[in-house]
Amino acid sequence: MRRRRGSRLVPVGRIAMIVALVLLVFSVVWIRSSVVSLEYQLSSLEIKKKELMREAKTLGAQRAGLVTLKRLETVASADGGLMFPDRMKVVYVKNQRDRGAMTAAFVPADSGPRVVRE
Amino acid sequence: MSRRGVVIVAIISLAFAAVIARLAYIMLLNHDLFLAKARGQHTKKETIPVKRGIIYDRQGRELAINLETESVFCDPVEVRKTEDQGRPLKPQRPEEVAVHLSKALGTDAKAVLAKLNTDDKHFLWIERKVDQERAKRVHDMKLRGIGFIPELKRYYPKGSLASHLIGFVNSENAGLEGIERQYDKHLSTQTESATRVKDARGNTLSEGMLKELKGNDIVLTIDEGLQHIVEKNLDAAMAKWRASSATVIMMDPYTGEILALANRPTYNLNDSGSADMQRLRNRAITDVYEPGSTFKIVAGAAALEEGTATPKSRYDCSAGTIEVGGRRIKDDHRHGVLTFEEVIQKSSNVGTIKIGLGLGKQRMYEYIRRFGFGEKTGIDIAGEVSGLLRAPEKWSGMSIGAISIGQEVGVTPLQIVRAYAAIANGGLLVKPHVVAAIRTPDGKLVYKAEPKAERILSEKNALKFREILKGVTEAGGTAKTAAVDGNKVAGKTGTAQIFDTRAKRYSKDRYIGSFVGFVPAGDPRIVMIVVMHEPKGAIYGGVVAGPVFKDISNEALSYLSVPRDDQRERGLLLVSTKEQSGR
Repeated sequence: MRRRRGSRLVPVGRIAMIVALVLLVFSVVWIRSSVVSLEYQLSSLEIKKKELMREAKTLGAQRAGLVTLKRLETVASADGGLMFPDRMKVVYVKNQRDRGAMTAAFVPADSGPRVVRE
Repeated sequence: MSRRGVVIVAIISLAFAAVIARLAYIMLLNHDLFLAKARGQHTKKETIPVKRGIIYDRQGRELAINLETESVFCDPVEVRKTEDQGRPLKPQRPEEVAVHLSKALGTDAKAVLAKLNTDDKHFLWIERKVDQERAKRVHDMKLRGIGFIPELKRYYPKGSLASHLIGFVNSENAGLEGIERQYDKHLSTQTESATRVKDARGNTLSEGMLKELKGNDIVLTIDEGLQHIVEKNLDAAMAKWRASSATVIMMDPYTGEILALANRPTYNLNDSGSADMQRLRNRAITDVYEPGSTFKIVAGAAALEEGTATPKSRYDCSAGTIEVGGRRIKDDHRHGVLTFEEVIQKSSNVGTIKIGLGLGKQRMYEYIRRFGFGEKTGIDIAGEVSGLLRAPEKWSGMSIGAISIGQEVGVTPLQIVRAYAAIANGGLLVKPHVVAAIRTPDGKLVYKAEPKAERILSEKNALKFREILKGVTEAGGTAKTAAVDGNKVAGKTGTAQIFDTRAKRYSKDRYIGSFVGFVPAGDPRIVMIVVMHEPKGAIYGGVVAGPVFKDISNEALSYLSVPRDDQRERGLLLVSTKEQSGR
């Protein structure tokens, strides 16, 4: 009886081992092919990233060219009617932010500097 | 097992043995050989392109960046090929290819055709560093024998702004001028290569991101805003006076930081190849000229420091001329008796020569050297010259007189502006510099400029002379045109005849007009020199350079939010504050 049982188990074990071996081989192959496939994906993503970075750099260069102070001044004066501030018309206001909202106005030259609190 | 079975097993076993033997031969005995062969077939060594570091202004605005471009090349043999290993190829006439390429790239078709018809060559550049748009047009044509190599191109988004400071690179991205040249080893780095795996079709298998090679970034001391203000006004002055060339340098008198530097004529950094040598010259540091009256501060400050004169010392200039070493030097007009202050204010040659004679040539020479003349300032831009200054033993009898008024010496505009910075800051000779910091690509600080200064005058005498220089832009001075609205200006005009080397005498119609000064005079924020070479229609520094100083200063002080001197005096301030609720 024992020999019979053993003779039945041996082929089952052998088959299981062969199946396991085959599975192992396939899993190795599958993992390897997955890695290769990932490498392809990564490579195409790298290319895409490079293209986007190149585009970003080109746009950055365009932006840098558009925001030159020379151009801004030209646009501001030609399109916006703006001009460089006349220093003699600049009003200096004390920086007292902790005191809340402030308003400023011209006062006669002879009256001297004043600070008025409401 | 039957006999037939044994035979079959034996044959299979032999076959397997043969395979195993072959595998052993390949994998064990000749492992290295076949490994190298395999690697050669599916790996490719690629050079990692080096990205130059970015150049910023002091506010972090980009002045020099990199653009990724493609360079187009051709394999003439491949272009003309009609068959490949016996297989006929799609016909492609070089004439048609040349026309297509020239249309797409905007190049000369004949030049392209000449390259395509070259024999025995497999690589010729068609066009280097082509922008994306044009490169795409050529890609889309799918021409046989036409290839692309990615290359980085240096791009200067501000065009000609600060061109003489920034400089440019050659086609191989090596620095040729300016900061690009001086700091080339920081901006660039060693090239490296990486191995990429490719399949039979040439597709790349990535083994992770390729590392990026980038040079260090450089932060300059210049400010794009101030540079723009300087260049805009300099262009207007060039147009008005039709000068042959001009220079403006603006510097922080306390630190030696160059805030702006411009020369005319100039060039576009993105088209440096078309600029001639005249345009490329950084005249601020390479051109030597006789400074004329702007040099009088040396004799004046030295006399105060040595105690040979006081601000109230009197000099008889009534003759209007003075003879020194057999040469008669005269004033523009007779002044009468002038105080030391008035000599400087009115820029009297006679008075200044008398001050110089009081010093003697040895002390005069010593102070010229103390002010940094006759040697390089040490600015960190390539090409600086030291100027011309002879040792006292080589001076002629008239040299003491001539040198006192800024003749017989050769200086650069930078040397003059540095000397005036010493008066502005209380007697310290600063070292000018244009690089504020150098950072690695990941932001680590590699270098930070520290102000370097050497005391050359006592603070008391420097401040005394500062007060005297204020008079130059006030009533009775030679440069009222340089006075700035709202702030006192201290400075000095200079009008120098150009020495004609052919005729070996001073030219009668070629002059250099200059003004150098600092503002606000009481608490200087900027020191600046304006030099106009050969202006037409006027010659005096006070006329041609003074107004340029004024216009630049007005805008620069606004830009820097420097308050007017009179802000507290004129009562413009009325502020009402509302207390916040709940307080």
